[in-house]
Amino acid sequence: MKKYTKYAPQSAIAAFILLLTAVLYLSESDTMWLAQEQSLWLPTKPFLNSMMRLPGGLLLWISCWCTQLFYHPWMGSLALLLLWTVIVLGVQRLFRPQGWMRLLTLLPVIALAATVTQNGYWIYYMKMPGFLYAPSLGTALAIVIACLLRSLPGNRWLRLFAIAFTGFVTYPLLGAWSFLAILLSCQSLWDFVAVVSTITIAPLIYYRTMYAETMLKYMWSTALPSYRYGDKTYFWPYHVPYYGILLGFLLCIISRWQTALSDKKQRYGIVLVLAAVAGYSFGLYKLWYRDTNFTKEIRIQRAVEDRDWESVLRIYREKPSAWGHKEMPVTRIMVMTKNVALLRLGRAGDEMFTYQDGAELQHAPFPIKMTQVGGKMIYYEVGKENFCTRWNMEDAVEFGWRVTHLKYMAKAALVEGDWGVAAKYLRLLEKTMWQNDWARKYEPFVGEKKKCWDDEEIGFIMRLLPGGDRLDGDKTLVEMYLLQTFSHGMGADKNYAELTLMCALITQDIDLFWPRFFRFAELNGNNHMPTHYQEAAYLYGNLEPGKVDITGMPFDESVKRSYYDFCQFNQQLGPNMSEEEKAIRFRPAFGKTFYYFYFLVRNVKTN
Amino acid sequence: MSRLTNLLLSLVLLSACTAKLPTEYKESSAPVDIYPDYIGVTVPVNMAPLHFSIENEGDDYVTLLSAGDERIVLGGKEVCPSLKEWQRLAGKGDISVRVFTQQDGKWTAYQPFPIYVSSDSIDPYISYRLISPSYVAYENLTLQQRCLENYDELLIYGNMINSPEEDGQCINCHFTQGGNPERFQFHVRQGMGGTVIANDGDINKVDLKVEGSVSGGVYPAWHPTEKLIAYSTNKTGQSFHTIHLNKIEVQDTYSDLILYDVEANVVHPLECDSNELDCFPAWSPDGRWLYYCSAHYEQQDTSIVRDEDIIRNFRTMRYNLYRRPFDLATLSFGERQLVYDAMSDSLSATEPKISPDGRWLMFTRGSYGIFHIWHGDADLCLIDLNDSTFTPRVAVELNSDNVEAWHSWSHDGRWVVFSSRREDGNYTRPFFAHHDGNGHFTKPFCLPQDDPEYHRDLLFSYNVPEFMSGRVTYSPQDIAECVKKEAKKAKK
Repeated sequence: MKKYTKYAPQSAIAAFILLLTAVLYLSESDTMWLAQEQSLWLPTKPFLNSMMRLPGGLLLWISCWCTQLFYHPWMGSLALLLLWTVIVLGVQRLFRPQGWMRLLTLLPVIALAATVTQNGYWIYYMKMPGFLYAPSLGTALAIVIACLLRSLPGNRWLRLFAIAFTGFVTYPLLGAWSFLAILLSCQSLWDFVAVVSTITIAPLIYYRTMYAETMLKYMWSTALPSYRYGDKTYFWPYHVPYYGILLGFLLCIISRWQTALSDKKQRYGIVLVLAAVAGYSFGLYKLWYRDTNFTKEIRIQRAVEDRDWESVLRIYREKPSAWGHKEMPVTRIMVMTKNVALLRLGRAGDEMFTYQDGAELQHAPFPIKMTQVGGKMIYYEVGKENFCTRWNMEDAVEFGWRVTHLKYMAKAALVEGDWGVAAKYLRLLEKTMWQNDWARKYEPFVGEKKKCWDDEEIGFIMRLLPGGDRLDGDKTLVEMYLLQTFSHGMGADKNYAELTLMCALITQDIDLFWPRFFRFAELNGNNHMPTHYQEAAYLYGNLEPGKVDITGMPFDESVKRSYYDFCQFNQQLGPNMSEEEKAIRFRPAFGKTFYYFYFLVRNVKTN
Repeated sequence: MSRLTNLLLSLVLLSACTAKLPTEYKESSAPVDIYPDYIGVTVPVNMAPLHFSIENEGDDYVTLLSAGDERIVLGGKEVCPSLKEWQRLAGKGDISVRVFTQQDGKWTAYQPFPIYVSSDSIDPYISYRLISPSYVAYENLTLQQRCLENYDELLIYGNMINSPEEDGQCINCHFTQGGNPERFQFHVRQGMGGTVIANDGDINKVDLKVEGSVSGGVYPAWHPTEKLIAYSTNKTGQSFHTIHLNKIEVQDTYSDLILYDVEANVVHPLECDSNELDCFPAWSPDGRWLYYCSAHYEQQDTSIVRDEDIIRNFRTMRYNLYRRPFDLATLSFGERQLVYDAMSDSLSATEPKISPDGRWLMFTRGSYGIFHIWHGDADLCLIDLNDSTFTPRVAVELNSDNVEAWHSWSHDGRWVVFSSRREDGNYTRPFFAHHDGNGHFTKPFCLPQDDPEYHRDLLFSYNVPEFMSGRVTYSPQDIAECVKKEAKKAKK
C-alpha cells in the first residue's frame, strides 16, 4: 500500500496533465487550426533574420516552428504535453518537493495552459510571433538552464560568474525568459544580487550595442506576449497567468520547508496544496476563452478553405442546445460568408433571407474590424482582389506575415493574373511544413490564364472581377463598400448579375433594384425566378406602382399569397405596435421572406 | 545578430562546396538557367561575389569558375564562391562559368557563360529603405546601408526604436550629399515628426514647414558642394485601383519647391503656384542648375474638392522636366526652362538625376502620374545634355517589362543603381549596370546576396537605393536620441 502511496502524487500529476491536454485538444482544435493559419515559419534567411533582430529571437523562431504543429491539433497538443512534462520534471528537480507537495509543480503548467486558452480574438491581433508556444517553451528552457546552473560546483564566485554569463549569453536567444532561467537558479542572497544585476545591466548593454529595433523600455519584456491593441495594453486578465507562473514557482520553493513541519501540519499543507491546484484550475476555467461565434467563425473559415459551401451553411445554422428555441445572434462576417456560400451554390435568391440575420459584435475587449477578421476572405471570394491584397499586406506589416496572408495574396494574384508575385508566395508556402500541398495545388495555375478561367474556384471569381478600373477606397468598411459597389454594378455574367441583385436587395434601394432585376432575369433565361427576387419585385411593384408595371409578371402564387398574408397580418396588429414588437410577432410566419427583411430588420450595423 | 546567421550559413555552404569536375559528360547546347540572372553581366572588380543557384533539374551539380589561370570548382545547386576566391578570380579579369549537372548518373555540361569584370570600381556602399510594399501601415521600416564589397547590411535607423504602437512613425526620403556618409538627411513623419539632418558630426531634427508652404520638405536634393538642400513640398494622397495591377496611385494635390539653408536654418520658397505641381528636385553636378519635374493642373470640376478632381483625372496628370539656373551668391533661382515636354508625348517624366560629368540626365518615364514605382510601364530614359535638342531616349539596356525607377549615379558616373520590380512585379530590388560614359549600359544585375535565394524569400522592397562613399558613423541609438528631441523650427 505504501508503495502505491509513494507513486500516487506522480500518477496524479501525470493524470492531470494528460487530462488537461486532452481537454485542450478536444475543445480547442479549431482555435489551434486558426493559430497556425495566423502564424508562419519559414526555413529562410530573411525569416530567421526577422526573428533575430530582437532579443529572444531564437525562442520565437522555435515557437513559430512549433505553432505549425497545430495544423494537426493532436500533434500541437502533444508538443505542449511534452513541454509541460519537462516543466513538471524540471521543477521537481529544481525544488525537490516531497510527497503530495509535488502537486505544486502543476501550478506553472496550469498557468501556462491559460496562456494558450485565454486568447480568443487576440490570435488575429497579437504581434508577437509564436506567442502560444513561447511561454511554455520559454519556461521549459529556463528550467533546464536553471537545472544546469544549479548543478555547478559550490564555489560562490564561479556561481556568480556563471549566473551573469548565462544571463548575458541566453538573453539574445530567449529574451526575458533568460531572466527566469537565472532567477530559478538562485540559491543564495549573493546569487540573487548577481541575478538582479544581470537583469538590470544586460538589456542596457545589448540595447546600446546590438539591438536598435525596439524601444529601450521593451528590452525587459521582449519575447513576452503583449496584449496591446492601439494605444491600450490589456493587463487584466491576460497577464494574470504570467504572474501565476511566478507564484507557482514561489509556492514550490516554499514547499521545501514543509519537511520541517509536524505530521499534522504537513496534513494541513496537503490540503493547502490541493486547494492551490483547485484554485489554479478554477482560474484556468475562468480565463478560458469560450465563445460560440468565435468557434463558428473559425469553422466557417475552414469550410471556405475546403470549398465546402454546404458546411458553411450548416455551421451557420448550428446552435448549442442551451439556446433552445431562441435565435443565436450572428456576426456580420458570418452573414456575409453565408451569402457568398449561397451565391456559390446558386441558392441565394431562394434562401438568403431564410437564415437568421444579425450584427452581433465579436466578443473581444476591443472593436474587431472586418478588414482584419474575415473581410479579406470575402474580398477574395467576390473578386475584389486588390482590396484582398491590400488588407493582407497591411496586416502583414502590422502583425507580421502569416500563412493566411500568403495564401490569400497568392490566390488573389492568380485571379488577377499577377503571376510573378503569385509564384513568389506559393514558393514560400511550399517551404512550410504543412502548407506545401496547398501551394502545390495552386502552382499549376501560375501563368495559365485559361486554366484559371476553367477552374471552379478561381474561374468563378474571375467572372466577378470589375469590368473597368478606377480609383477607390473602402474606408475600412468592407460590407458597406461591397454593398455600395455591387448594388451599383451591372454585369454580363449571371453570377455577377446575381451578386449585384443581392446587394441591391440588401440596400433596399428600389431604384437600384429594378435594372439589376431585369438584367438577372435576362441572364436567368427560362429558369425559375428565385423566390426572394420575386418577393422584392412584387413588393416594390406594389409600393411604387408607377415605376414598373408588374401586372404581366409571372409571380408564383405563393409569393403573392405571402405578401397578401403579410399585409393582412400587419393590419391585424394595428398601427400602434412598435417595430420591435412587430418584428417578434411577424418572425414565425414571415421571418424568411424579403418583406420581413425590408420592413422589420433594422439597426444592422457593420464593422 | 544577422552576422551570426551569416556565419552559420557560410559554414553550412562551405561544407557543401568541395567538388571535382566530371571527366565524362554530354555537351548541352541549351543555356543554363540560374537565379539571380548573372549571365553576361558586367560587375565592378570590387563587387561582392555573385552567388547564384542553378535552376536546371539535377541530382548533383558542379560548377567551374575560371579567369585567366585561376580555376575554382564548386559543388552543389547553390554556387557560392568565398570572398577570397571571388577576388582571386576577379583580379584576373572576366570570369567564365560552366555548370555541370548530373541526372540518372550521367553528367551534362552546359554552355559556359561569362561574367565580365570591369576595372571601374563601384562606390562601396548603397543605402536604401527596407519596406513592405504596403499602402498605409508602416511598422518595421528601416534605413539600411549595404556594403557592396561584401554582404554586410548595417542599420542606419529603424522606426521601431522610437515607435510605440500608439504613435507610429514613418521614415523616408533618405538622401546624402554626393554619397557623403557624414552629410545625410531623412524625414520622420507622424510620431516625433521632423527632418533629421546629419551634418559633419552633428545630428539635428528640424521642422521645415514654414508659413505658406504646402508641407515640410519631402523629396530632397542636397547641393553638390554647399550645405543647401532643395526640397519639394507635397500634399500627397493615396487611392486604390479596383482591378489594375498597379494597385495603388500616389498623387500630389499640391506641390512646390523650397531651398533649405542647413547652416542658417532658413527656408527659401521658390515659387508658389498651385496650378504648377513641382516635384523631385535634382542638382546639376556643378550646382548651377536645379532640375525638377512639374505638371500643370487646373481643376476640371470645381463642384468637387481638388483631391477628388485629381483622383478622377489621374490618368491625365503628366509631368514635364524643367530646370532653373541657380545663383549661389544670392541663393536665388532664374526662370524655368523646359528640358523635356513629356506631355506632348502623352507621357509623364519624373525623378531627374544628372550624371557626375553633367552630360546625362536620367529620368523615369511612364504614361501618367508622379510616383512611377507603382507604374508597371515606368522605364528609365536618358537625355544627352550636351545635345542642345535635349532629345530623350529609352535606356533600353536597363529596362524590363516591369517598373524601373529611383536611380542613382555612382560618384564617377560609371555605375547606376536603380529599383526594378522585374523579378515578380511587386517587390523592388536594386539593380546595377555599368555605364560607358556615352549613354550605353551593360546588362543589369541584382544586388548580390550571400544566400542566392535571399531575394525570393525576402518580403521587403528596397526603396530608393543611393550610392554612398563610406559607412555611416552615427549609431541608430544616436539617431534615435536626436529623433526624440523637439524639432527645431526652420525660419522663412
